[in-house]
Amino acid sequence: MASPVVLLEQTRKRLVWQQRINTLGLFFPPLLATVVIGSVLLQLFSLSPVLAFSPALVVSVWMIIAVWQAKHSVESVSLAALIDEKTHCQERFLTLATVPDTESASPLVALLQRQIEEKTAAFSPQRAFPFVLDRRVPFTLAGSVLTLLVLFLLPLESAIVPPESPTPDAQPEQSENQQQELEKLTDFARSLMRDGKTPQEKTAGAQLLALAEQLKDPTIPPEEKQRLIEETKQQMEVPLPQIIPFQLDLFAGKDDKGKGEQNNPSQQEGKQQDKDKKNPNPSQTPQQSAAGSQQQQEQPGSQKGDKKNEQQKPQESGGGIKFNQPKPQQQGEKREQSGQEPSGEQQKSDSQQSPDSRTQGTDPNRPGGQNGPGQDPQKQGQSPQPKPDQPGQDEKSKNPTVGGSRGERFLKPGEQPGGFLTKDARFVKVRVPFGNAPQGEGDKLTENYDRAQPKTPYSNAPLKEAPPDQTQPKQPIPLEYRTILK
Amino acid sequence: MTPPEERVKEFRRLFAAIEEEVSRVIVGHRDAVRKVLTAFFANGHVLIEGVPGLGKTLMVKSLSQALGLSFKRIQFTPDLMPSDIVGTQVLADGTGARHFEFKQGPVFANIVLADEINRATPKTQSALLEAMEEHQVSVFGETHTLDSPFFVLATQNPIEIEGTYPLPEAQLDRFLFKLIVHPPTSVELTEILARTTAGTRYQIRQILPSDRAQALVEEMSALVREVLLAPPLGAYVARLIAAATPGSDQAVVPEVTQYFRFGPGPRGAQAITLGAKVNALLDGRVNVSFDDLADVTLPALRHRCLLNFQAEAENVTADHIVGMILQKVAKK
Repeated sequence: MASPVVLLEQTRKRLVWQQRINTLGLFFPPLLATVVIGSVLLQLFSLSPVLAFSPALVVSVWMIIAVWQAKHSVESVSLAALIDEKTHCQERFLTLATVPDTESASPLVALLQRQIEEKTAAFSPQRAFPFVLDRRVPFTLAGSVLTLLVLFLLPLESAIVPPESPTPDAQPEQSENQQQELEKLTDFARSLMRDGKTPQEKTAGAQLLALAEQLKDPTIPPEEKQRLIEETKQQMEVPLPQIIPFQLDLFAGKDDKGKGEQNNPSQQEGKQQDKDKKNPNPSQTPQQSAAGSQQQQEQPGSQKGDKKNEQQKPQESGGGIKFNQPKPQQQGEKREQSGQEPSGEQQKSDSQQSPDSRTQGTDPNRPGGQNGPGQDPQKQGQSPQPKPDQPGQDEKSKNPTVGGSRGERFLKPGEQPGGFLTKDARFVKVRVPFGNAPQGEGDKLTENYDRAQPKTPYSNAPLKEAPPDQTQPKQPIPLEYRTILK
Repeated sequence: MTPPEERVKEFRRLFAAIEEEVSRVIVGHRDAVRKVLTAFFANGHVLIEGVPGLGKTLMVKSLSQALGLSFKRIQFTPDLMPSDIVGTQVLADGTGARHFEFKQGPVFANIVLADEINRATPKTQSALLEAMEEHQVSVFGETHTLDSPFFVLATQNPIEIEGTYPLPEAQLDRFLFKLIVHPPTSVELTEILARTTAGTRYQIRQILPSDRAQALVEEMSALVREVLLAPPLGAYVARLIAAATPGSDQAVVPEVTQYFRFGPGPRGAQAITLGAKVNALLDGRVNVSFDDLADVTLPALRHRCLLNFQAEAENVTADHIVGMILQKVAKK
């Protein structure tokens, strides 16, 4: 027969144990969840372990405090009342637990203890107070599991942003890239300086060679290299990004490894350059190849041209040359130009790809598409005069793209009224406005006689070298298009 | 020294014997008899309210006979004087020299029955104040101690209003319990007829021996006061009293503020505690339980809660409000 004091102590330990188990049940699932989350964050974001596991640390400290406080959570008065309730002792335990010291020596207190011993002879704290799980424990468990599920189901890796500073492993790779780009730049500059190149190209080649030499100098800081690149861009008559398919930003200390592959047009052009190198036609310069790609982007006026355009679309998306973002004043002009027929450059490209069409010459958009000497560029450069007797309504009825506002009808698929969606283009071509009469020798009218097709297309694309017995034709660039074509 | 177990057993035995003996004469009213005995051993006084003919006087007489204590009965009338209760100085001529001699009134007895106490004037009623509280009376500057035990059992008729003087609050507070005697049921009435209309009447047997009656009663009363009261239970009693006090921040029952003019004072708490201690002993315990407290709360508080005019107009009784308080006040 246990004394009431022993029973009180046993019951207290039992309740404290239950309280601690419930406290652990409350805190352990969140602790586990925070540890798992911390581990995931540590792996994905390369956080410091202290930062990643600080929530788990807070929860664990909180749990320890709660477990420690469970010892004091069971008050003697509440405990005695609880035992009284379980044993029907009618506040005997409560009286014994709270009896004042002055009355502790009273004979009635001894009698009270004996009465309690008789009443609680069969009392067992384990039976009287079975373990009861706290109602909050399942909720915390479910919440933690749900949190972990959400954590593992969310595509966290896609939301990860690579760190700004390159890792030490990436440094040698970047310098290796720089060396490769420098070599490409040097080779390209020397190719520009070969015989047969235009003076502009030779000048550009010299400038690029000088730039390459400066970029090789390791004593020049990246900021200075960047300044040199910018200066070279400004000095060159032809915009640098349009002719250099290299990542010059590498020399400015920028790490474009992550986004350069997707966003850097120069690198795309570099890829295009690689493709051009694989071109079976050795006489075609990179510029011509790029011009060909540009011509493939142009919207042909005929069905045949549409088919070709559809067939060549994958190549365009891969590494086609894109336009520079035009100035607002020039956008309208470009839109008008882009909606017209392809020029001789495209005809040349088409002739290379489809010899049958060249021989037959049945394509109405391919009038006379032969490049040859004897062109009078001055006549071609005259401002066109519209024909009053041939309005553009016929064209509208035939061309489904013609319609709507004046600007929108010339938009290509995917093109927006705000301007061209392409940028960094090297070569563009312009079209003669509607209704122009043939202005030069070799110029032909289209089948509809509503526009003139110059023998030498209006473009800044380098022309094919003329045979030795002929003079090199000069590409006509109308005055009003010079700012664009540069 | 007698072990506490024996003292408790003796208390229970005597109490049960007295109760049983009184019940032989009084049909029904077992709770009233128990409460009267409880107040007696708690050194308190009892006010019994009930219509005439319910056996109030018989119950008190039977109790005094069973206890073997002196008994006096005072019939309160409007012309009753205080000296008729406490006594007065009279001129004595004993040895040839005349002198004043104190003539004890009926209050000088162990058990005093103040029958229809509300018929006397307040002046006469107040003559009992000192006797009930101090167990002494002062006459012509002389203080006379009353015999112990001193137990006043007053009765009053609730239906006869004319020519009555309601007891003042101060005197009401001096009664430990106020008991309501209800009319007997038909079964009880049949039993009453059988007992009172037959040729022989039952004679009350004296339970306490005459030579030790006072000592035994004092010993039992002392044992009552030794019963343990846990502080949480004392706090519960305090919460009960506070809850019955209008305007208190612990008045958990809105009706208290609405219908009570005054609440119980400390004597109410004492009455609850002492009555609960007797109940604990009767249950064989030496500690007070919540049930003991709840059992005596109503008789201990009903006459200490003074109703206002609204309560009387709406026929709201103190019993109703006290019952609500018992339900609302938390035990822990």
